[in-house]
Amino acid sequence: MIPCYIIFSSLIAICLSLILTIFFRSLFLRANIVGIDQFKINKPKIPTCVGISYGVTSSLAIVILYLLGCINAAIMYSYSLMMMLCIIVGLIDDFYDPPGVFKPIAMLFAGIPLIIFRCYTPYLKTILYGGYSLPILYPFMILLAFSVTSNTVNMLDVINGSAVIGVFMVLLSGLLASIITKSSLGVIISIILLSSLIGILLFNIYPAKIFLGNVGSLSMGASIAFLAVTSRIELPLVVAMFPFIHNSFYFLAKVRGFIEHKKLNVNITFLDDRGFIVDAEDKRAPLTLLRLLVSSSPRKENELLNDMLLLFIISLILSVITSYLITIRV
Amino acid sequence: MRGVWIVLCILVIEWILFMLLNILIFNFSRITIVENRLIDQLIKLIVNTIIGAGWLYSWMKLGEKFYSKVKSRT
Repeated sequence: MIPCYIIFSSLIAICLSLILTIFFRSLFLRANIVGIDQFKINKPKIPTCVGISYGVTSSLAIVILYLLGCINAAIMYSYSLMMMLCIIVGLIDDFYDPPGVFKPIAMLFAGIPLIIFRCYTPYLKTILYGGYSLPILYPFMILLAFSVTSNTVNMLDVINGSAVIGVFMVLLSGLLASIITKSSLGVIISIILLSSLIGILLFNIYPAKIFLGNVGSLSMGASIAFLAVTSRIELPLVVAMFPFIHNSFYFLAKVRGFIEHKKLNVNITFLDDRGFIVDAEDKRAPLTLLRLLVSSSPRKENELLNDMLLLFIISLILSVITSYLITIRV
Repeated sequence: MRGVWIVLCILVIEWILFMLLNILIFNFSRITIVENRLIDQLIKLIVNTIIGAGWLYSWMKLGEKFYSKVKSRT
């Protein structure tokens, strides 16, 4: 019976995701909540903050799963509260533009509902040997995980569809890892999160008709952390997030602080007259993922999205191998 | 060499390193006796942080090396 309920919930999540994405798109367009698409020659104005539909959809889908008896109340409450916190932090960041340090600190709190409802097992699974128990440190690691995943997703939202494609592939890795490690909760949550992402994916992919805003990218990142902790697939998801880690690590290492992309006074890449994205070759600029991808030759935005997809597919394969190594004991 | 192949090389090399370091860290953690003691977990955390920082540093250096190689060719 439960597989039928999961299929039912995921179909509702897909429909809700499409409906809410269209609704928020038209709402924000009318309210003139728009952003400029920097990597287009004509610089079109695109409705932003539409990523809020992901948080709302996934929360509603999780409530439906609870009502159908597929998940327990603790999971439902912790996810809903966590998502509510992400939406609040995201909206504050989108509309009030606080200092760069706000997001990493505020997103630490998104992990608190998980700790309060004890939706975790303080045991970190590792490859070949089993794992280790961390009863005192694990709750602190949860807080850190929420801050890191949400902000790293936020930092790769640089071209049309880059963050959404990445999150989709990470969640797909989560689904495969859950199947391999026999985590039924992981399978249920990842199917629901993937379904909730469909509407956003269709509208944000190149050429984008919506922008996620910080509210969308932070929510997506936090849902990855939620999946990793509750399903005990931390290591495979770290591997699946390698392209995200690559991008944000180079940025932080060079900038040496939490500074917003737009407030950085150096050019990392720019759009030339033919519509190609070019490496600015500024020595002060961080070696971000986008900059490395255009380092040998200028590339179109859609080509870069394909390149990123390839990187996420390889990370998915490595994540599957990691999941398999977790199940082996020597 | 296209940018995407450079990043792919870095990802695969860093994944192999990550796996090897995981084995190393686990074997170190077996030295500790009582896992529920805060001091043991703190030792694990410190060792993990040092090894993790080394891993990220190697990631950074690898990227810079590949980037400068590409730039010297173009």
